[in-house]
Amino acid sequence: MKTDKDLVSINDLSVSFNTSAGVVSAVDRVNFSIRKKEIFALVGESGCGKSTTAYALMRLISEPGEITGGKIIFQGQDLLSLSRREMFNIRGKKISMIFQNPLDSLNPVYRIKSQLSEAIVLDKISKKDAWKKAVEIIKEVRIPDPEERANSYPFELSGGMRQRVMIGMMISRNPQLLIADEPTTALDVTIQAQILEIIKDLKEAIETSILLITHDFGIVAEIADRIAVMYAGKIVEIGEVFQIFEKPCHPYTQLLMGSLPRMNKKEGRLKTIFGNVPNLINPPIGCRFHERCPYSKKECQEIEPKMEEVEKGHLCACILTRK
Amino acid sequence: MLNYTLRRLFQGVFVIIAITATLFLIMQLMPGDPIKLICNPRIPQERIEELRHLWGLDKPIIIQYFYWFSNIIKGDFGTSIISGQKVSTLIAQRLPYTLMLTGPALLIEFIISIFLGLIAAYKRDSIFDKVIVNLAIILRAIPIFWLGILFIMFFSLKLRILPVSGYSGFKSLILPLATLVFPYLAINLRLTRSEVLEVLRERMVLTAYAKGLNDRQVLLRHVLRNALIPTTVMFFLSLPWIFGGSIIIESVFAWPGTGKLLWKSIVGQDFPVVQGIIFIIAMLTVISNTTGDVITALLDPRIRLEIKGENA
Amino acid sequence: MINNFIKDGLKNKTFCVGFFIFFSVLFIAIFADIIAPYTYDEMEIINKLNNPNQQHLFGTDRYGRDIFSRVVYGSRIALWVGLIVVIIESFIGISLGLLAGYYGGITNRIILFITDLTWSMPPIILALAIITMLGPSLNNVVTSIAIVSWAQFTRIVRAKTQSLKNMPFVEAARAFGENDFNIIFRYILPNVMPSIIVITTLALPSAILLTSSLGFLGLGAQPPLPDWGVILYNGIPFIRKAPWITIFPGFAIAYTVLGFNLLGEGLRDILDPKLKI
Repeated sequence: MKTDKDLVSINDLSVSFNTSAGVVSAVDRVNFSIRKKEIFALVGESGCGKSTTAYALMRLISEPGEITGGKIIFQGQDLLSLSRREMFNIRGKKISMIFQNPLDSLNPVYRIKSQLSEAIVLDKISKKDAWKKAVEIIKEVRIPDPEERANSYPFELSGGMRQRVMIGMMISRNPQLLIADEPTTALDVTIQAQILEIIKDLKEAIETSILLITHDFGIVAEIADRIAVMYAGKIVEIGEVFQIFEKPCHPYTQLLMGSLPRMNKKEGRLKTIFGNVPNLINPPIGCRFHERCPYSKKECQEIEPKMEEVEKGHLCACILTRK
Repeated sequence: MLNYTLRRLFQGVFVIIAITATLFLIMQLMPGDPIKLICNPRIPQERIEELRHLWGLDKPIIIQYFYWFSNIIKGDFGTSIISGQKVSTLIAQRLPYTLMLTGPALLIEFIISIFLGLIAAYKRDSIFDKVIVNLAIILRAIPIFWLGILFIMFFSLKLRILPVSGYSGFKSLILPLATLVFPYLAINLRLTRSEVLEVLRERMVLTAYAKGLNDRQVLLRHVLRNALIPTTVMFFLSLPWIFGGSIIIESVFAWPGTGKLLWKSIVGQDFPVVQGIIFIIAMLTVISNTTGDVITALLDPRIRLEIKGENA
Repeated sequence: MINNFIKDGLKNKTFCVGFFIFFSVLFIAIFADIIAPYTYDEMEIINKLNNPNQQHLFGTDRYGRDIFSRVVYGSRIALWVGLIVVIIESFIGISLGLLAGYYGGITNRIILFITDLTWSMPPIILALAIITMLGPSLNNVVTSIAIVSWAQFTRIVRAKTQSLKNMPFVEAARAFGENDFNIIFRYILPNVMPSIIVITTLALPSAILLTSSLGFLGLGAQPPLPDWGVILYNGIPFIRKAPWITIFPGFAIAYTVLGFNLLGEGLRDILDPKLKI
């Protein structure tokens, strides 16, 4: 349901991969919206399709993957219907993305200054001004000795610094939406906190929305406004942060919450979810979680649950919520 | 950087010595006697010994080598046993023809292979790519001398638009040049293509697109720039091999270059000429290897860091 | 494991085409006596320099020998030389590569130096020199090519050995008390095997090309042996009058080399896709 507060609205997005073993249905009719000036977290375990969804948003899906259906409405346009050339104008300028591992994300043979200004000059800024702005950005992401650092190569920087450069690079053109794909997974915990701080502060400063892709609920609790939980290529629950944490509706979300170790409780064995992720080449009919769900009934194997509102702003895709 | 270059060149001197010494040894071990080969059999034994002494062929091998090396540094390549001419003259007469062939051939095949390799990798699995790759596979299997002969048969004998052999101006350059270019083009093309494919898989390409760069900017500034590093190294390392190809080409097309001279001299056991030409090839090998290393360092800052570490 | 290999192999088009070509050449070589209508040195001077016709599919040469038969028997020489060359050079190259990679240090430096030396000269020039030194004959062709080409094995085997020797399973073996010889042969070598197989299959066509190049320069097998390069060499004076003498053996070389190249590439895709040759 699109409202005026929505920045981007994803409708029935589907992505599949044509592998030699078969067609993998990685993302299946996914629906959610991101509002202006919010941090929206897309959460799920590895392989659930969250990164793929993000890449689809940027139209960076390449062989053997392809976007097989849906619409992505952004500023009145369906991104999936734009030409290749029109997408070049969207990326970086309106929607940009930072990646998981900052080491391979930067080109090792160019200096930081060049890689930063390469993006800035796309907005018709002169090279000299772009270099100046590059140094300013390095300052903004709190890297010490910005002038010196500007002339360094990526391999001369630490992981945390590289990620900051990435962030700086990707917000340098003031995009409306920044996608952060597991931005802290490859970093130490202490650095993680710093990076999250920067992301939060930047969001306030340039009023951008952030789509945060992660499997770490800790980060979600720290900075997210709303969450969507994904499982096996489908969204199973969407809601505000406190709704999901205090009243998780979908059995999968509940089990995830239950498996989080708590500081204040004394627990014996850590709880896990039994079973394995289903094979997405032949996804199960009906609910994709039913094989591992402790509450599953016969109907769960036959009917695919639709997203229904359980309270204001809180949606859940489970037939049990009807009760 | 300068230190590094000089150091590599210095190491190169040892390589030159090693190569020429090895060939020297091989030549010495050849059966038969070059003096006897050129002499009238009725000449008395003392004269033959005198000639041998004149040529310095009666001294121990190491002394011979030493004399030869110290002379060649001064630019004195010695005299040909077979023809009596100065080796340097012989080589100088013929080297331009060989260079006329190998120089442009290297340039052409390098540029074309990069260009085609880049496009083929970018359009992977398209018809263009499949055609290019298959053509390269087939070309690589064709023996150079057979390709040359086929060209002659078709263009010179059948169509009569190009001369059959020998040097006679620009037109006569075309067929030998083409024959020299194609096989090496085939090899380098596939190498470039696979290097570009590897770079295309890297995440930094996604970053470049995510910044908002278009295809041309990403391909040229990021993909090609990075793929050039291993490609250029391979090019310079394999540069000397084109002299091997030129021996055959010069034979097929009766081209008056150093290749034919080398062949005749090896078979005729004309040591000084062989040594002279090998010395030049060895020098070119060292220079091209060093150039390859230096260019890699210029292109890849990570290597410059390693070098700094070595110097420290 | 062999079943998987066969399954993967059949799926890979390159491998299949390469194998078919290789098999066809092998077949022709083995059954040459039945396939060839004449022997390779039968001379019918009356029929010299004939066009290809019903009696002589590929025509005849200046001595009236049937080119078709000569090409057919030539396959034996090509395969035989290729096989022996590759056996010798792989033995030398692999041993040196294993030693250099495993022991490192001075051993590595010395072997590296010799390898680079052999590899830096254009192979054909070095081979030319060696074969002139030994005298032109088929056996000496084998020797000179082997000397010139073993380096291609050493480089890759050395690189792989270096990376393998630091792997945990090798460290574990050392902790067990295994001696060096055992470690090299029972732990490292089997893991280098896939790469070796690929290089071997690609070394064969190089050897065949080099053999025929030497033959073309007049320094290969001696007459009347029908080495393809030599047949071509003999046909040069007649490219106007009797082009078939040079066309058909050249085609045979290209066909065989192509087959082995495809076979090698297919094997590489199946066994070790990251191998850069």
